[in-house]
Amino acid sequence: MRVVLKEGVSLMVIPTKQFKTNRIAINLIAPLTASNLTKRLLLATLLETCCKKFSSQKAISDELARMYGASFEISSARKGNSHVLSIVFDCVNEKFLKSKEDLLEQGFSFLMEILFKPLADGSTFTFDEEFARQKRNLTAYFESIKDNKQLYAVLSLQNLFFNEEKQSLPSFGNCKELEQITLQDLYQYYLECLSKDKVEIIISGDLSITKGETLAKKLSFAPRKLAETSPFYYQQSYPLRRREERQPVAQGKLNLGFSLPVYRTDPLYYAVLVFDGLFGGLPLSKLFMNVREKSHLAYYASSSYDSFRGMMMVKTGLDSENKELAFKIIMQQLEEIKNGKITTIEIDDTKKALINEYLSGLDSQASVVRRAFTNTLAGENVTASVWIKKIQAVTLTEIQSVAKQTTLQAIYFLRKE
Amino acid sequence: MKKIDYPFFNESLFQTDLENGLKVNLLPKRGFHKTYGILSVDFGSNDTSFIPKNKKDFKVFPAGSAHFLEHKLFEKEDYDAFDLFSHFGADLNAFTSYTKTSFLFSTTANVKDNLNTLLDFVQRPYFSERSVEKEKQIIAQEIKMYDDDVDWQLYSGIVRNLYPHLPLSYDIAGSVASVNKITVADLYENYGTFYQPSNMNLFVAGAIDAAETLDWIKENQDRKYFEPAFVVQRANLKDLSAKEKVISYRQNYFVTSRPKVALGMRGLDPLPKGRAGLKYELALQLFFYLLLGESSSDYQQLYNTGIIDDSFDYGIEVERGFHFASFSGDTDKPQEFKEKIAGLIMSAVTKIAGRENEFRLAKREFIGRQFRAMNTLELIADQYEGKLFDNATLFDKAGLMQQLNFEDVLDAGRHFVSEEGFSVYELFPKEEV
Repeated sequence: MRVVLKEGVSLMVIPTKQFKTNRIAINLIAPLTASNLTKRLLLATLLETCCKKFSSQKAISDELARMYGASFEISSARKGNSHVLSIVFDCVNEKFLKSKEDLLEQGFSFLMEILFKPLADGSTFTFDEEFARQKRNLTAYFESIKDNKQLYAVLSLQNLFFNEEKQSLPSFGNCKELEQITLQDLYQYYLECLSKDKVEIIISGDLSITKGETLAKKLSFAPRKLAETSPFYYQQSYPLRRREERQPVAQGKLNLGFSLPVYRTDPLYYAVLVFDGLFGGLPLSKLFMNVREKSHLAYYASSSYDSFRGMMMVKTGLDSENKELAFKIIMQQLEEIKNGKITTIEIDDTKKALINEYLSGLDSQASVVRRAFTNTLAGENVTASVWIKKIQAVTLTEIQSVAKQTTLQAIYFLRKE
Repeated sequence: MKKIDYPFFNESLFQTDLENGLKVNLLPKRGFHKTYGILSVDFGSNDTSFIPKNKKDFKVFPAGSAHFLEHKLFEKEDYDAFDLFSHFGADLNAFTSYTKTSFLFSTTANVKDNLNTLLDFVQRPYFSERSVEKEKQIIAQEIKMYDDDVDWQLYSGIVRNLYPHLPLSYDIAGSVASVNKITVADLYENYGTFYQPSNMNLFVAGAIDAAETLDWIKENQDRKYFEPAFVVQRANLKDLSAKEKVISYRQNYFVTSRPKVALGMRGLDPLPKGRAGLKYELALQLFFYLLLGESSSDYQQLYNTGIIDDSFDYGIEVERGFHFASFSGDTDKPQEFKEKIAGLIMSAVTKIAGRENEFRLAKREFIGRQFRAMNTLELIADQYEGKLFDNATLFDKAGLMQQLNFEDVLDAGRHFVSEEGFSVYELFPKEEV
């Protein structure tokens, strides 16, 4: 159940006895802008390393170890038109421990210190050394991306596919921006996040809703006015874009970007899930079977659908000389779905796999919390039984209709030198 | 069927050995939707030299045979196990490690059908000339993908230093050349030797009733004929390595933006038998956590002086026939990286001797981690090592952890660390041409 604690600050408590742990997620949501991507990543990284009470990474690690190996992480991510900083904490349900400490309450106190009492003097953060070090580390991370060819190829396609910088840049920003950020800028931006971002708090575990509310109120977020914005990103279509790069790699990468303007809250959303599963999203998909298994053209071939950005991406790893043939077969598979050349068994098996994935997710506390958040962000509340019914109700005609809405927009190819 | 209660964790495990020798572990988990089943064979990429079934002499098989066999079991004359699992709504997977081959499914429906599918496709081999040739191309692609993976190259490099010329130094998948040598007859010979029920175990965890699940398994096994069990004679890694020394240093060049360094320590001491071996592994985990874990003062110092960063990691591998530790990271200061960390490892026992308070904190951390692992069916089942640790489960492991004291940790370090077991492997960025 979701309750509004203050204007712009909400709490959802998901009581369960299934897990041996309790989990807290505090999500800070801001409208996506290109210039904030890097700042938010740097902020996430730094808030994770120190605060007044725990002034070093060691002090934080020790405190987490003391709380029986509690885990704590701040991550930053782009979701459609939003940017999300997630502060996630989880700890053992103290009922299993011999010493009866209230770990969940201690967790909230810890998060309070981290979020609201950083090392700062009122006009700037005061952790110069840590700041310089984390900047160096992030620079090194940015540099290392070109060593991870799968990721590099995904980022390159994204760059080619999206019109606006806030979507085409990597979700974690870039080196140039990073260099320019000062400690003072970051402090000002931190204050802005704390006072203006939309706040969604989620707690899953062995606790009552009342206890959840009492705990969440410990976090001193002030009420805030939020601007009405759509969580989804839309873009105009354009003539096909191609980019090819040569590098000394053993395996080539061919990635394709399709626009698929069906979004999470659209009635055809469930049809897209089935379509994507059939096409390349699942291990039994047409891409896997035909590009990998039957013709042995690629080691991997899969598709993925972004329901907040109306995009579908196809990823393959192959011998460079197989590119043309692989492309042909990929497009053929899509054509077959458009023409309804799919058996009832294929559709049923795909639905079963999607339902299996969905129900399996209920056995992971992290995934339960993540889903609850994604639902909230999209502004809906879909229960497990409704979700399953909607998947089961998807028809062949609907699958064809969403397949026909895909438009190939961008082709990125990383070729062996 | 034996019921083992773990009241401290609020769990109960059911354990039994079937007549054909298959060991079965069942863990019903209340509130779970999913069932996870994993069938493991005590046979991995290290086992390339053994006496095949009905033969008298040792025979050496091409590197990568276990992995190839794992791939090939899915495809049958008249069906593909893949399709059957999909039809019954399950996810499936398989993996091969140095010492183990595992086949697994995960499902929220049709547990009985999926269990039957798992047992049947693994227990009924079918290999044809044509499909074996086809598979060679797929595996070549898989090997090539690893060829581009710099972190995998670093890891393989240090393992090769620690165990030169032993099967451990080959890639689990073998090389394109060794895979090309594999024949249908090789696969049947490997299969016949290792895939006997007495050399396998089945672990099922999740939304199950133990008695009902055991009935299904028995029903399935009773339908099949199995030849009498025999004990496989494998070449002993210890014998193979008796004359062999660790290569203390090697370097290489690779397409990477920053230098990467790996340090390794091969355990030259014998691994204690049974659960004592598991306790030893836990003690080593704590030992290196105290030395180089994120909370340790030395880690902090190395981190703050820019010698290591978040890419730094270490791991301890304890498997049948070998145990080693490896430490690796990206660094702009490779010289300092290897000197400082080598220095720490070599003087580890003295370094840690005064850290009893840190040990108490670390123990809390590790206890918490084990509770967290109990949330995940895969972690519970995958951590089961069968014979190696005398059938200990994650819950036994958590029990051992709670008993562990500071002296155990120091002792483990004393036995493990040695000059002769130590090695360094470095990868430097290739100059752009």
